[in-house]
This record gives sequence, structure tokens and C-alpha cells, in this order.
Amino acid sequence: MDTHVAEKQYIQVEGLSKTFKLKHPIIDILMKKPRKLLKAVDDVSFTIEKGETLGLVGESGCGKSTLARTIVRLYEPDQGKIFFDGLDIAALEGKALREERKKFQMIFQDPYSSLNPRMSVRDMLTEVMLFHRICTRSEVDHHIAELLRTVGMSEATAERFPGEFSGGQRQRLGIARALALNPSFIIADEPVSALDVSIQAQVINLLADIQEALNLTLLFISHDLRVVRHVTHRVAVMYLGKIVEMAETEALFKEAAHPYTKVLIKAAPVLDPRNRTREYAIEGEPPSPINLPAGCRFNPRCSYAKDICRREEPRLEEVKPGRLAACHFPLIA
Amino acid sequence: MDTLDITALPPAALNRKKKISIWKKSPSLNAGVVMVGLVLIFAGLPGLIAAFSPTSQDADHILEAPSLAHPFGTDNFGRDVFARVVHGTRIDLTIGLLATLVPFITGSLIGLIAGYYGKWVDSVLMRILDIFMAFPFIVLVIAIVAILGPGLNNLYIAIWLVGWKDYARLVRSEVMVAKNAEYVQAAKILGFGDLRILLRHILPNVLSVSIVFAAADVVMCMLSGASLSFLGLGVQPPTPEWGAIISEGRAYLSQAWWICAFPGLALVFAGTGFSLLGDGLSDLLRTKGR
Repeated sequence: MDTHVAEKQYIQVEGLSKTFKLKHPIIDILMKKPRKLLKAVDDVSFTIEKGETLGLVGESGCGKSTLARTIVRLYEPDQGKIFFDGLDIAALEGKALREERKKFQMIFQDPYSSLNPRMSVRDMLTEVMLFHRICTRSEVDHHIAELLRTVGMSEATAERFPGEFSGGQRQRLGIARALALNPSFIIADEPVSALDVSIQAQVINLLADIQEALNLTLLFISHDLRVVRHVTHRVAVMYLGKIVEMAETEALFKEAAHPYTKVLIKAAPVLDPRNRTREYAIEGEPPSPINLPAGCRFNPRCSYAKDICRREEPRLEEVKPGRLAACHFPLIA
Repeated sequence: MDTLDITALPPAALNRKKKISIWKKSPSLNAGVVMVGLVLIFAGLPGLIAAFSPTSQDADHILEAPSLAHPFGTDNFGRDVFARVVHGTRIDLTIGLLATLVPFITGSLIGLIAGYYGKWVDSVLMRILDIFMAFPFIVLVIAIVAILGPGLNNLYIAIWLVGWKDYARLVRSEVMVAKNAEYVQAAKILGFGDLRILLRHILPNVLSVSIVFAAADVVMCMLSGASLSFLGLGVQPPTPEWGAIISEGRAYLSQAWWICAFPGLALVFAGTGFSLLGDGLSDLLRTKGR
């Protein structure tokens, strides 16, 4: 896969950065200390083809959710471009942005806070469809019935309120809301991590089925590697605001190029009672994104770190055709 | 069989059970509803309950102790205190409700804006609020009425100017929580404008605390109205208002305790009713919240 051919790419993120300014305590102002900055997303670039599912994995706090929220313009990007079918949505404002919003939607992590508790399912979906003029008022009921059927729920549930549903059902409703606008790109931000394991599979399979049926492009964010392996075509691994490795899913799980990816895969629980050894377990917490270490961001926790890793930050480069890694000493060459 | 299988019950029965249990669990709601209901009847149909007119004087029956004909006695003009208290209900209730309603609306809107937009908008509004918070409620109301001049309309204006601060603070803190909820983020991603998000998505979810507070606030406003009328700054005689009646009866307290005691008791009764109602409402809204 050639990631440099721009025209063919449906989603193309280029050098996206998002920095949060932290509160500036009065003592610091008086002592003329600069305001502390949190680099949540730092110069991230990637592409997704139409109909493809890209997985985004990493520890909590590595900037996955911030990246997602920046792409959907919930946060204003500081730098970078977000090409969506050739159009830079990072530069859009007002009406043009609202019009374009129909095409990209998001599924949220927490099904208990992602639905307005005071709105019935019908009210929620009706508002979305009428606001964007997806259909006329007389067609709304028909569309709602169809949407609910798509996500595996009966039409009778339309009159109920979110509080009357289980977590899995609520997540289905969240998917229905995202689908109401007929989007072509969906970001799923940890869509199943708040659900019971028994429900996770149902929701994941539903997402996969819908993606296939509607030819959706999906950015699937998760920290659960088993889920990512199951649903994605390619995976991007994120560490402290940067993508450190990107590869096709199976290739990545077979053989990691970046030491961080390796420990991440090793650290994932395996359902095999005979396998009790844990060769690698990642040690320590990730460094604070406010005081990033010099050189490679992973060097304090990396068992392969050499001098150059503490001085120079590695760039995300192709280590093998179709495989990108940001490491001075990639594990595969 | 000594255990009841809940799953075997039809949903309607479960629903009914839930309703009954809320009703049973909250005796304060029951008592509040009954007491406020009585107050409403008194306010709505004073002529049916009191035999005498609240203002007609009777020189033959001055300062009479409570009797069958005059259950609350008569005052220094021979007016029936029972009739005056019953007719005063409407005035006191109107003061309580009107003086609550306007700050409830303005305060909630200010809190909504401050909490949602944050930053300098929040800072400016909250500093203004701090100024109002710095003075005790009744002192500020008295000061404003003293400047504007006594009278019912100025009393309203004074309470409206001061009363919004509590609602603003309550709603603001709720909005600050709600605006980070994922359903609000979802609404933003859907492209909804600020006004729609504020009114349709945030407001219905942050108002319950305000509503509970408002029920208790009716009492405060009734008391403030009565206090100011007692001081001669609110309702003017001979209009039958509880605070004004107490004020008039004060001079005869040693001879005719009933002139002051019964309107006072009426205040206690109405106040307790609204307090219990607010208490019960908070139980009800809490159980229904999730």
C-alpha cells in the first residue's frame, strides 16, 4: 500500500497538532515562567482509504481521543490539514462546516452519557434528521424505523428514553444517531470498552456489518488489541501524541517494528491457561505529556534505548514496504 | 412461597409498585402537596371560606377574642381577622410565586450562559454575582425598596434584582458538568448551534436542582414580602396581607394577641407546606433522574 498517493486517499490527515494551554498559576505569572503546554496531538499524519477501517491504539492519555475530537472539529486544530474526500475541513467554518458535518460522525465511548437522558429515541433521531434536512417531516417515521432496524432494535423502542435501555442497547442507539445523517466516515472512540464483554462482540459485529453494507470508512479507536485485530485493516499505534508505528493489522500483530508496539502486544492478556509467562510487561507510567523527554518519547521505558534515542527524535519512516515506524532501531529491517 | 419473583410480575404491576413506593417513601411530598393545596384553595376562593369581608369595619365588635362567629377574633376596627387572613392568602401567595418566578428564569439563563461559555463571560457574570452575594438578601431588598419607595411593585423589583443569584450559581455548576457530557459533544458534532444545544439539550438536564430550590424559595419570598410589609415598605394597609396585619396588630399585642398570632401561623403553615413540597420534589427528581 502506498501511503503517498494523495488522490486515492479518502481521509488524509497531514501534520495535525493540538496543544492545550494549561492554567497559568499567578505565582508562575509573577515569576515570569512561561505558560505550561500540553501537546496532546503532535504532528500526526495518516491516511484512510474509502471503505477501510484504520485502528488507532495506545495507552490511555496518549492522545487518541483528542485526535478523534480534533478531526471532527470538536477541538480547533492548531496546525495541520484534514482532507476529507479532497476538501480540507480544518479550514472550514460556519455554514460550510455544518454542511460538511453530515459526512463524518462519531460514536462515543460512554453509552451512559452519550445520549440525552431527557429525549426519547424518536425525538433524538427526528431532531437530527430534520435539522440537516435528511428527509421531510412525513418521512421521518419511516426513516426512524429503518434506522432502528439497521442497528438491530425494534421500532417500538422509539418512544422510550435512554434510561430504559441497557449499555449495549444505548450504544446501538448511539450508532443509529451517527448513521441518521448517512455519513461516509465514522470515528468510533472506544465504542465497546464501557460494555460487558458478552455485549462487546455483538456491538463490534454490528459495526462491522454496517460498515460493509454501507461501505463506510472507519477510524476505530481502542486500547483493546484483540478487538482491533478483529475489526481493522490497518493499525496506527500512538504514543504520547505521536504515531510511532503504522502497518497492516496482521503484519503488525505478527511482527512489531517499534519496541512500544511489541510491549503493547505482549502486555495484552491472552486467553490461554498454559501461557502463564509474561516475558514483557511494560514498566512504569508514560511520561507526562507536559514535560516530554528529549529524543525519542519512548526512550525512558525502552529496553533497546541507546544514546541517540535520548538525543534525537526519530521520524516516522518506511522501514519496509507498507510499514512505517518512528524508531532509530526498528525491530524489523 | 415466601419470596416474590419480580420477573413474574407483569410490567404494569411493577410500574404501579414503583409509583406507590415513591409516594410512600416520601411522606414530605404528601404533606407538602396537601398543605400547598389548602393554601391554593384559600387563595382561590377566599369568599367561600370567610363569612365576613376583610375590610368592613364593625365598631360594636372591636378587639374581640376568638369566638364561634369570629374564629380568629377581631381587630381594632372590628374587622374579622379570619377573613383578613384568608383573603391575605392570595396576596402573600402571589408575592411568593411572582417573586420566585422571575429570578428563577433570569437566574437560570444567566447561569446557563456563564456555565456554557466560561472564560471571560463567566468571570464577569460571577463577579457581578459576588457583589450581590456580599450582602444579606433581606438587607439588600430593604435598601432597594427604601431607594425606590414603598409599595408592592417596588418590592417585586427589589426581589427580582436580588433573587437571581442563587439560581445562577446552581444552574452554572450543573451546566459546567453537563457541557462536557458526551451527548453535548455529539450535538456539536451534529452541527447544532449553541442556542439549540443550550435550550434543548442542556437546559432540560440542569433544571431539576433549580426547581427544587424554587419551591423552597417561594417560602423565602413570602417571608420577605411579609417582612417588608411589616416594616411598612411593601403592601400598604388596609390591604389584608399577613405581614401588614401583624404590623397593624403589633400595637395591641398585649390586649389582643390573636391579631398577630393567626397571620403568623398562616405564614408558618404555608411556609412549611412549600418547604415539604420542595423536599419531596428533590426526592422525586433524584429517583427519576437516571
